[in-house]
Amino acid sequence: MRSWRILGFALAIVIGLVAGLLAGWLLFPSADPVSTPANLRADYKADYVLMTAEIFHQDGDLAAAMVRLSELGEDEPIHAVQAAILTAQDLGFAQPDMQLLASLFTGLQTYTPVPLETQP
Amino acid sequence: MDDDYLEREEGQRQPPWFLLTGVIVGLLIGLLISLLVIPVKYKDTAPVALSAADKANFRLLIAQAYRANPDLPRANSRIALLQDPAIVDSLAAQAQQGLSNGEEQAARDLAGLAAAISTYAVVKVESPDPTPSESGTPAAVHTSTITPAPGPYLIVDRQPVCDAASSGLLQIELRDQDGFPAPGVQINVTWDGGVDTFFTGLKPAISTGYADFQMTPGVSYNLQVGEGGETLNAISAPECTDANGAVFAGGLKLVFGQ
Repeated sequence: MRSWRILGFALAIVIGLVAGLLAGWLLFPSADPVSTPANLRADYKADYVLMTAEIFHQDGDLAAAMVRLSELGEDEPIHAVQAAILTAQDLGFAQPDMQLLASLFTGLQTYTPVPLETQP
Repeated sequence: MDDDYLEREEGQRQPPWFLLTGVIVGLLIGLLISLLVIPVKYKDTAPVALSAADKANFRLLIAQAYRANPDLPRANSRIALLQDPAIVDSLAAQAQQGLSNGEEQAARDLAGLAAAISTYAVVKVESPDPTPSESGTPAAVHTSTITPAPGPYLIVDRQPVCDAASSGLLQIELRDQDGFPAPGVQINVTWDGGVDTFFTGLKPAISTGYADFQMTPGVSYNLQVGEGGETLNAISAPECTDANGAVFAGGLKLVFGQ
């Protein structure tokens, strides 16, 4: 009788464990999405970079473009642009858009960050 | 034999609480593991799955890209990725928030996009089968109402609104040089001890060139519309009389044109 109790207790824990895992992985995340731009699909990331390139083409603010690209989670923002160019080629982006991406890429290659404070 | 007897007696007297305890313990362990130890990792997601803060950044990015490249169908398709049924309201609310945070350019961009999308939606509803232009986008989209042209705004009409429902309400309507509503134009209101800034287009349900401001009866306001626009001084809520002869503060409607 005692062994049946132990077995039942273990079985109840397993059932609760499975229910808890399913609730945590399936139920709660869908109610409160916590995705970030770094987790976007490649084509969405490419469009994100394209938007950054469009803004950069207008204002020429490379530092602001770097901040926007840093949201994509790459070690270096230029890597995000490289990946976006490859995706854009695969997806057949229009030539003006490819030029915008290339212009941003070129700008990032020559970018030298300005230090906030200069030491004497 | 005695033990078996005692256990049987105990089992008959008490419900199997140990099973419920086991389920609860398992549930807690499962939640702990799934939420903290091994949480769900998103990969290859769509913008709709972004967190609220990232969605706000995404809306701003779209608005800034729209300012840089005023391609409305493109901006509209981008904003549709967020699957927000009240996207115009969301943009307008974010613009107001940006304004209160002192981010005027961001507020202007968001308000401009809100107004443009509102115009785009209206055009699409009114023209279900638009004639394609050379670029393949609906020809009706390329209206001059989307981007306000630079130039001073001058007062063209001024009417008191003697309606108790709009008591003290300053209603402003801006029209561009073609007579279309002008969204995203900054309006500055100053008075003794106060200043306020807002934009047209934040209430596109009324008009994309509309903005309003709540005046306090008896207070005199100065109003400037757009950069280099005409400044109106000593604006105040007009006095109105109802059917019983009682005096109340009415509203004021100003129409500006380029």
